[in-house]
Amino acid sequence: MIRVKDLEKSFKLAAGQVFVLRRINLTVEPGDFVTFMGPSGAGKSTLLGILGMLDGVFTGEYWFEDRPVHKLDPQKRGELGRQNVGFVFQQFHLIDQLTVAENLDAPLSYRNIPAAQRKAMVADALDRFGIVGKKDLFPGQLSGGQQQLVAVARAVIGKPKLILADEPTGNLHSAQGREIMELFKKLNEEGTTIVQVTHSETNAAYGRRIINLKDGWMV
Amino acid sequence: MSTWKHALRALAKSPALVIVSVLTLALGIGATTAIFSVVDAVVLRPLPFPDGERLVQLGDKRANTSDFGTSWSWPNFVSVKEQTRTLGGVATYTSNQASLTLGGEARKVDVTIASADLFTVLGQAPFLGRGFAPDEDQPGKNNVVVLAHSYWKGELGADRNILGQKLVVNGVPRTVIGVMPEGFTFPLQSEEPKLYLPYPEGPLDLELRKERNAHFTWVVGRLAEGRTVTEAAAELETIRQRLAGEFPDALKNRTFQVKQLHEFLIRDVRSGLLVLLGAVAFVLLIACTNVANLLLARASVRQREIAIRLALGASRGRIMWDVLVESLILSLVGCGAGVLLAMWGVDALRGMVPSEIGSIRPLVVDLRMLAFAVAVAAATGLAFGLIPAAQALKAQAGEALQQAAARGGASRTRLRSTLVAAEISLAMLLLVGAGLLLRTFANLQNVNPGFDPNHLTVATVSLPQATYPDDKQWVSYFQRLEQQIATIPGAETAIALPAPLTGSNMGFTISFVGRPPPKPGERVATGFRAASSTLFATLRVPLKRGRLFTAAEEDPTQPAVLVVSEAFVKKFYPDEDPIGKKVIVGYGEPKEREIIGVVGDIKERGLTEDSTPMAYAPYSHTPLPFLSVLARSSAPQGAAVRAAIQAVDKNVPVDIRPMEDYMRDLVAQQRLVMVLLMIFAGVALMLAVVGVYGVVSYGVTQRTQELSVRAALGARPAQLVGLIVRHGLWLALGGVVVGAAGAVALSFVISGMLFGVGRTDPLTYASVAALLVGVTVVASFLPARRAARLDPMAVLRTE
Repeated sequence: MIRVKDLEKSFKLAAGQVFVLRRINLTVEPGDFVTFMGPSGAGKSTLLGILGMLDGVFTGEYWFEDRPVHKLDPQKRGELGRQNVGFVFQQFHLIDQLTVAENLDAPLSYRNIPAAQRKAMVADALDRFGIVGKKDLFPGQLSGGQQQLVAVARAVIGKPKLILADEPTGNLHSAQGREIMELFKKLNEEGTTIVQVTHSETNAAYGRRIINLKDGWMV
Repeated sequence: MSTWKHALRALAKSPALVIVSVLTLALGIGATTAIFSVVDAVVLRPLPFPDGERLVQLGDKRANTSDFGTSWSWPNFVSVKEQTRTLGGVATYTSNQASLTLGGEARKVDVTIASADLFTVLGQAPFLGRGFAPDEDQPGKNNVVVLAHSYWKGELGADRNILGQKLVVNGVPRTVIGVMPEGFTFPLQSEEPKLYLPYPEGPLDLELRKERNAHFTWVVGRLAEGRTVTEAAAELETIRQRLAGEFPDALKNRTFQVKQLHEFLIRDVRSGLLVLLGAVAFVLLIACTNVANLLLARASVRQREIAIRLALGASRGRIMWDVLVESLILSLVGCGAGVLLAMWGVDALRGMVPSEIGSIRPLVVDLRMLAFAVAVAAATGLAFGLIPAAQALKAQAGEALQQAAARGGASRTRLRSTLVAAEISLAMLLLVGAGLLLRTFANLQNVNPGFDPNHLTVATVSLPQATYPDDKQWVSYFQRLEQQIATIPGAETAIALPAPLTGSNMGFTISFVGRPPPKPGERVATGFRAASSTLFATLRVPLKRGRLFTAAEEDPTQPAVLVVSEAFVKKFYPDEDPIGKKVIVGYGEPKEREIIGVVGDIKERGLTEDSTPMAYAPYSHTPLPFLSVLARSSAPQGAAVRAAIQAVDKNVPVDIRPMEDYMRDLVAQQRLVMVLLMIFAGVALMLAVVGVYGVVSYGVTQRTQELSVRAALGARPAQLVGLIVRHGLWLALGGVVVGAAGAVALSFVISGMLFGVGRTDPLTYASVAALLVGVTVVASFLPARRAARLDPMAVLRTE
């Protein structure tokens, strides 16, 4: 699904060029569950942003299902990401002004899916994640675990081939974190490819393999 | 003191906020103060005469008209003067021009001709010498003159020995008996006179004095101590009824009127000025709203600081005062800049206000104006300071160290959005007002006056009564002048009395040969113009029926003929052919005149008035010692016309103006209100746009996180732009709907100034709404582009 070859990312600062990622070579097969680990500043989130096609400024090659992401213009890259990738964030990043149902609808609305179909997809997701009773609540009215549950539901609602999760349990207590990781496991077993960033050995154990990063290098 | 010091220090850290706030307030306070200075000078302050509120203007009008009938006949004036008890004094006056010969050279000067007691009634004693003695308005005793202070100082070098010396006015030597005080001028609505002369000016005045039907002079009175206008009006009606019994033809269907002089002078401009004052108040309100919005944004940034200070024990009153002091500082600095702007504005307004109100009291920058500006500044400081101060108090000490800023954000954004929608509403009100007046003005420009006013020079001539005492002299002058002006190369010329649309109108009683005479007290009248035979061709007034009079028919020995207007036919011969009919009309001996032709109508009384019935006769058959020369030519002819008039008699005063000037005067008030309202509406629009930009831009800043999340979830740039612009669009639509409702409700205040456009004109409302929505979308688009450029990676960076 993902092939990364000699990928590098750097910034030009007054002091000279600063590399955030160095010579990353990576393959992720469909159905894989990969964990990036490493200390703060290792480049994990930056790599996640590139894999999620939010960031197109890098050198090297990035192939997604045989499509050369590194050669795509921002519009096409964005479209590819929109259709194939779902994100889960540590801070949940639900939109405060929207209800649970509207939050789930948001990514669908950016994919030109007809309203009726979107409504059905939202209803299906609410049902699947057991949050039908919360559909009209605003994020501020939910617990942290419930918010992350909605965030995961939002990430998978468009049936993405790849879920990128950045410290998905970082803001949850252990029971809630376990629940979310079980959910990821289930999604992975159903065929969704997952790449997560975490500091937690416990969470990393849910994945099939671990890639360690340090100072931008894979170690 | 430390509060003020801290406030100054805090403001110094936000120079952009200070500059924008001060400029915004300066615009609001400056415009309001400048217009207030006009309203104060013209409407609020009493007239510049001792006990000016007791001065009244007397009117004598036909009973079935709504106008104020300013002109009086001499006998009626004398009757009122003799019989009144409610008026302590009554004087009559008229404005004119005279030929003043100084050092052998004749110059035209503006003069006031008055009855002997004018200065007594006005309560103004001369600065030097004396006023008119009671019998100095009688023939043979009136060869005296009182000088205006400005003329005495400017032209005669403030020579105190001038008293007793002679000035030659209209060919007659007159003894200088007095000089009026500085600043005194009368009448206030005319050009400042240089000289005050007692009646009668000449034989014509004496002739007119005998006629109870000849309305030619204005009357001013002073209420007796303790008497009211209502009492005076009741007494005047009693006097009129008494006179009507004696002189039914002259007084039966008439009404005597009385109005405070001040009210009479500002009757045409009061509503316009109050509209403008209302308009600038709206501009000020918008300015306040904008600054309140800026301070609200600042308050949200300072929420944490305020919450910490609350946690440290500051009282809520103290916090509120701190925030208010900042507002007051801004408003006072804005006041200073506003006063500078107002001084400049007053200078500009001085050149724009019509002379009839400009001379009531000079526009000045004085303590009253400064006091007004400071009061407005203090009020605005409180007005726009209270909202952020109240918001500041919502800070909770306990939340200070948590998420105070985030918590208050949504409600503050709603409040700011509401304020901006209110600004748009106010801008809509002003723009609709300006739009309606703009359409009115365009309609007035398109009114066909019935003749072609372009490339037409008008020279108004007054024949001095001393040297031109009777009609033989007038006809002789006319004939010489007609020949002289015919020699002006490349010009079509004519003579008319009066020239159309120059503010002078002439009317006479008319009777119809072969019809029963009018009932006693019934008076049928028509507008009248004495002219040369070339008038119709020169003015481009079309012949509709019959024929025009010829040059040969100008000879007074020829049978008297008359050309009438279509309105004349419509009124007096609705079902008959008027050609060949005979009527008796005109001044002097009754004379039968045969109607020989019908011409198109002219808007005699103004562009918005219906055409009045007009009768045109050869000048020589109805001569008077006033006339106007009309010259049409593609090149300006002022100098040539003046030369021609002076070639006939260099001592005859002449006033030359292009007809376009008179046309401009007709719409001067509408133009002034329209121009100022457009300026204020433009400022309001600008401020509203800045407000929209500020709120939307602030909204983008507040929503950065949300927008980045949306971008990370796949929102395209165009979708993010749409999200933000929609916010602006809702503000605009809300403001436009409320503003339109307000405009409909308030438009009645300008309905009297409109012409050819309804006060709910859909085109104006739709255009203004489209403009506001358009500029709001543009103002929202700029911050929206910033939203479109947000980096979705920002979401990951916050992890």
